Amino acid sequence: MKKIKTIGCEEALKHLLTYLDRELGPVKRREVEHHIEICRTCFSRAEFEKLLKTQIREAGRETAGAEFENKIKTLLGRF
Amino acid sequence: MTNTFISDCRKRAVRPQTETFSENPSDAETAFSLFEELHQPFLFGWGNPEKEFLNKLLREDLMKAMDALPELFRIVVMLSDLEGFSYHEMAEILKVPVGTVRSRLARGRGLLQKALWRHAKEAGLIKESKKSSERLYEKDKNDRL
Ligand SMILES: [Zn+2]
Repeated sequence: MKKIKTIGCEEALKHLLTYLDRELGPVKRREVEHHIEICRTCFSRAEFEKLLKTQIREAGRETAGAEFENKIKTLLGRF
Repeated sequence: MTNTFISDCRKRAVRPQTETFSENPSDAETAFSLFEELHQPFLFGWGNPEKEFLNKLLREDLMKAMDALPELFRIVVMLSDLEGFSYHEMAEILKVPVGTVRSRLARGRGLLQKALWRHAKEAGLIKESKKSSERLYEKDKNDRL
């Protein structure tokens, strides 16, 4: 496998949310993954963002499904 | 997520948008991070400040903060975090470039975290020390020390 470039915290954080959304290209993804493995702060940050994302999703689920879909449709209708 | 719902979304999103909101997020908004706020020195001493914080947040708080987001940003956060749409799918639904989806998402999440932080302070979920008072609101006198 090709050697993974070592990136710093700033670079890792810049791409963190895109990484968590699984929207990073393979090269960047591996760089961010690698950084999270070796950096404790960024690892905790990633865990936090993940947890928040999960909480948001679960909070949304609690709103009844149909009601929620209607909410989105209404919003989209205004664009 | 049903296919009819998705195509319904697309149909409804065709209307061109007139937006008054600036697409260029101010640094203060996009760069805002709850995680960093929770790691301010005055909070050290908590075992795991960020987990503790999230445990205290009610789902109702989250939804309220979400509802308070400007529509332009709320929609992308909802489509992404709640519905799991990809950037590409959102770009198609909203008829904007993927880069716009990405920047709105970043800004929406920044604003959301900022709102949650403000709420947490108002609700007393976070106890501030005197040292931090210059950058944060004055604590209510009735609060216990
Ligand atoms: Zn790091």
